[in-house]
Amino acid sequence: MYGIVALGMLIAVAAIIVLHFLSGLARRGRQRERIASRGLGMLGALVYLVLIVSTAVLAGTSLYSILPQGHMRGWMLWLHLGAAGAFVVALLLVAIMWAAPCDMCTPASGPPDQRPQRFSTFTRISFWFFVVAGVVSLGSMFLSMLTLLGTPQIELAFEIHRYSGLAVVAAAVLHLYSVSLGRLAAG
Amino acid sequence: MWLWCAAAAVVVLAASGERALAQDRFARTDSRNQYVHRIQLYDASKKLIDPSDPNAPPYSPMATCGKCHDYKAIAHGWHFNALEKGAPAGRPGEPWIWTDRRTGTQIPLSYRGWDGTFQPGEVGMSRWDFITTFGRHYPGEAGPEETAPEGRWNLSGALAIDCMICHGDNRSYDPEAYAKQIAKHNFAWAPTAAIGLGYVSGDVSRLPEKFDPAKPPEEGKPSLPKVAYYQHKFNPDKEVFFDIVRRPSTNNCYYCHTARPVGPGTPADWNQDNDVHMKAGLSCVACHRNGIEHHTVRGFEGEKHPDGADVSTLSCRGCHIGEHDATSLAEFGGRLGSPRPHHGGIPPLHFESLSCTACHSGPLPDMSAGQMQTSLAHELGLPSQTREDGDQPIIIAPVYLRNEAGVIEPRRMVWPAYWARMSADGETVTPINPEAAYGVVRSSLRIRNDFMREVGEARLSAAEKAKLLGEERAKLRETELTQEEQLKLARATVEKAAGEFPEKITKALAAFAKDKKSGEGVPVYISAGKLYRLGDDGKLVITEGHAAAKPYSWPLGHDVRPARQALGAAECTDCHAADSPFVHGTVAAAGPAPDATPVTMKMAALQGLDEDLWQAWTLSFQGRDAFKIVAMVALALLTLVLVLYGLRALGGFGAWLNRPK
Repeated sequence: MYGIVALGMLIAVAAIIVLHFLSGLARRGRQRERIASRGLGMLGALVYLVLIVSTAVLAGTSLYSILPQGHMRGWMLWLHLGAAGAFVVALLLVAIMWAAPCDMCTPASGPPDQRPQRFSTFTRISFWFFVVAGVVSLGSMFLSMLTLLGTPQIELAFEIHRYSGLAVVAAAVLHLYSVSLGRLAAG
Repeated sequence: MWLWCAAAAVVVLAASGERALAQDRFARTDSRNQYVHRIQLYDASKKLIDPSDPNAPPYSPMATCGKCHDYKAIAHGWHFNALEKGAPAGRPGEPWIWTDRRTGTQIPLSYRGWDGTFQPGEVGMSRWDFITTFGRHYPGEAGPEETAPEGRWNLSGALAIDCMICHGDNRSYDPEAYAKQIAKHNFAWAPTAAIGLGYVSGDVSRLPEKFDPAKPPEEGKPSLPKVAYYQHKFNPDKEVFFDIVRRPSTNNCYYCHTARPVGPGTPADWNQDNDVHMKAGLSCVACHRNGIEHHTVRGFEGEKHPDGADVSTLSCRGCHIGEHDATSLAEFGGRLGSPRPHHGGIPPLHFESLSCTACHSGPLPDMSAGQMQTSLAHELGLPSQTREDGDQPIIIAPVYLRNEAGVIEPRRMVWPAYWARMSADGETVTPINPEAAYGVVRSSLRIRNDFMREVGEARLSAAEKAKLLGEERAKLRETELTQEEQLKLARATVEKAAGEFPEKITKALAAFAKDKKSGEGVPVYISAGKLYRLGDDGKLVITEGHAAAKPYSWPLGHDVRPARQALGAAECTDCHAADSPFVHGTVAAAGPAPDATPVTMKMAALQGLDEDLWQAWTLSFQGRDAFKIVAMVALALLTLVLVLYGLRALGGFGAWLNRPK
């Protein structure tokens, strides 16, 4: 089941990227998407890099173990937990640093003086998707580490973690794509 | 058509006739009420016994109990079928350990062919020898081998299953009396003496070789044993009251199934709690159940019952948790009100990698695995004035090993020790029967009674004692010394004995080389995982890891500790720590030979764990609490950000909805 969902997610993410890219090409002549990730500085870039790398390690270790074996253990699990530590801190910092620029309240288009935020709608949506999925994924794992939950609840938490983890990966890919696209567009 | 009807009628009549016969053969009350057994006694030839007859034969459980119960079916049950041809081997369990202290022998035996055990016949032990050695704790059903001469079985009688060993309820059943009769070779008389129906006199073991049981007894001449039945126990109808319970009491099981930890640091018997299930009011048979066929449920996961019955909920997991995809009531677990464990915060992979017993059963692990004694191996249940903690056979527990299914479970472990002959290529090692080995061991090593004690305890000279304890303290009696000083002396004694052992064993092996009576091949001695032999130059060669010296282990299920005393119940660091006995504990091979540098294994290696990985886990667990705090703070802040911007977004959405058209 998990494998099918993972595959479906992969296809969906690829489809979204392709559609978005094509629609961007079509709009190119009329309206250039205004994007910029600059302004967050070196620290922001570094934190973002940590977040993306830790997400990649988390995704790699889980998919490498779960898809063929159905479970994660051994060195893969250890690496997964190690990367989780970095992910927690990086996600928090990125959320704090990117929240204001990704505020959904103000429009992305319109006269330049009325557009204080620096990211496109696509980037902002993928960012909040990333944060929400990250919180669910983190929360489910954090709860399962407490003695509060018994085995059936821990198993449920694990299931939630697995699928919210997939959502994190999807969001991370979409976000990275949109940010990269923005930087390319910004020249 | 008429023919078809006739045929059908014949079949129906035959079937009903068969059913009627089956109903007549054995009696049942089909009630939960315990039937009162006021019954007449029958001898082995199924003749009614007259208790007033001075020559009355002993009662036979086979004939007496078998009158109403299916003895044949019972005899195929797990407790009784080991000697039966084609009996299932089942999951390896505790072996019979042939212990001969004079020769430093401890050989794990089993008729079930468990890997790592010897078939008694392989080591020259006949069925007669087996019963006379182990009959004290053997529940019955043994006669001469089909291929072997009858020997003295015609005098002793066959050893029938003694139903009352388990089903007797008034504590008048005396297993010691049973064992004494077995020791006298009075097999057929043992049940009568043990249940106390009469006084048994006579001793088959003292009857001359050429004794003819068919001859009428003569005054003053040796005769077969006699029973004087206690008349007051019988009513005028020659009936006697048997206090029987359908479900045997735990007390009866304990006679054969007691296991006690021994050695330094072990709490005294009175200060041990035994199995938590017993304290909760359960009995052994609450889980280890059987029907009339006596296929007693052993209670491990994945057990296939010979009847095809679903016994999954009679295992720890099945009962306390139930089957994951339970579809029927029998699979839900919770039997007898068993509580479902919370296992709060324990990742489920633990339940895939570890058996329930790994955390819950046996003595708590120590950095070096301790010793255990069991009924079968150490004759527990029988009084002894000489039994000591370090007695042979030396059984070590708990040892955490991975089973065939890859699950880590606690086990008991014993290293074989014996004199043997090895083939020239070193592949085949054939044990020498201890009886045959004793002569050579005695003459070469001057052993009288106890190889382990006499070879293993060297005497320290006064100068050596003074060097260890100082001039003044060395003059004191051992009882006046402190515990630490006593330990110092004991350690020095063992070290000295171990230092002297190579010379002694060389002498003994040279003597075996000259002795042709004990067989052909290179003489060897095996103990505690090492194989001792003489090289071509006559010097001692010690080999570790030879297949013949490998230990035999079997899973332990009891005593189950209360949940709060389970490993991991208090802290993850019960196991995930640098000083955790579960992983970093050691198991030193133990045997009768003194050994200053025993073969030592780490628990992690025995469990097949990646030690680097485990080290990494141990390190990461040091920061686990900090990680929890960081994660909690991060989650709280992230949630705050989400709520804040979520509300802003909602506000914005509202404003967008209310925008001027």
